[in-house]
Amino acid sequence: MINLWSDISSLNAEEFVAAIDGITGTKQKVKKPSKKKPLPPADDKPVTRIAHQLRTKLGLSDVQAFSQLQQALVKNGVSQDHIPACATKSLEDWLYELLGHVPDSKVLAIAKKIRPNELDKS
Amino acid sequence: MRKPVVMSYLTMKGGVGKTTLAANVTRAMADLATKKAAGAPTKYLLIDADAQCNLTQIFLTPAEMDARQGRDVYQAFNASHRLFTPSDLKTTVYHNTTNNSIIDLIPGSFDTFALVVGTPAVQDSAANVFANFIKAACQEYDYVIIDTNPSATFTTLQALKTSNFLVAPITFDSFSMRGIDLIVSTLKVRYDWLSNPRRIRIVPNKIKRARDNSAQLRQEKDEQSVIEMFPHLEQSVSISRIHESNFLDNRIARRGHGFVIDQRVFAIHKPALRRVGDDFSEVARALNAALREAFGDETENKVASSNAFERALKGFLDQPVVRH
Repeated sequence: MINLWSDISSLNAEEFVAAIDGITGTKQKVKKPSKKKPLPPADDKPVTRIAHQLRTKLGLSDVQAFSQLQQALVKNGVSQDHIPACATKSLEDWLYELLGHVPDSKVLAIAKKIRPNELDKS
Repeated sequence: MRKPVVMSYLTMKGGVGKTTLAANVTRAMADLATKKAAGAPTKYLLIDADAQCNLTQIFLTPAEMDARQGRDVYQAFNASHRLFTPSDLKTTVYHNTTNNSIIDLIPGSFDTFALVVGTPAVQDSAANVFANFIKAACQEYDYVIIDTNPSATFTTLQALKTSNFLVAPITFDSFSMRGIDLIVSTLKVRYDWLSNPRRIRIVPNKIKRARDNSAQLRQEKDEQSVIEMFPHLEQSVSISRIHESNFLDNRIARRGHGFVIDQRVFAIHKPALRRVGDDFSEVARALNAALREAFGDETENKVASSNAFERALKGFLDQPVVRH
């Protein structure tokens, strides 16, 4: 007993449990680290990117976004006939309709050129 | 009357998905087409001008291709017999009965390789025959789409000579963009329309779907740095893109299986296939808008007419009242 105690007392908790498992033949289940649930893919659609440019990067409200982007499009040579009316639409719906008439690359390039000091003057 | 659209799908680099895009973007354009008045069909003509016949293999099995010997694109260059029209050589590969849009195909031919080594007299004759063939095609079709070989071969140069719009798929790296820049800078001396960036549409292809917003931002930064190397092409680069997908694997896309979205898949794969279809629809919408900007729109523009009415009414109401 004294010899057993001297053997056991030198072990830490994990070593003691492993030793007991070794004797009894049972293995403790090793808990695997849980995988993080994969995030849904980011949306890189043209409407989302242009709306992000207007709302997040320029800090515009939807009403300002409609107005500023329309003005910028006309200023950059886009015909008014190609710009849909925006009365009751969401920004995304309006952009979707706009991109049916004006190339997406052109709209994003124009949206990127809108400057905050131009907004203050309007 | 809008000028007929003849667009070449061209890259200097093979394997970027030119042929897959040519077929499937055309299909998406056909599905988006507005039904014409009086029931006339909207017609698209695909021409396989690549001696490798990759576009043809999407729609026809090897046995079907063999059966069509003598009724293929080689006859569009060949003056030794009679002159052929598109109706003599075409096979219909798609008909959307809802909006009555039709896609016909002029199958490719290995025989076009012989034109590369033809004498100048043979090549001149072939060039004239092909130019007349395309003119005839423009009488009958709303859009002519030519799939070319990824190098400056005789048939590729004839495609560019008869075209007025270029679609260039790229994988987003400086090497691909340099290839497009090379085509434009070298060939715009010969083909004036290439000087106009509105006549060029660069479509990013095989783009990885970003897993989260930070990956998305990194991707946009990388893309921007590539575009900044070629600022004169910036507005030609489409924001809508085709993402990487197993459904676009060449092993599946060929062997007569047809368009990608028509593949038969297990129910569990349908959402992923739908996403591929959405990508092609987005690219087709953007391409339609680019074509309208380049050539104008002959059809009644509903946006224009409603806005014009609103402006006319506003103008009437804003007029000062004149009292005599």
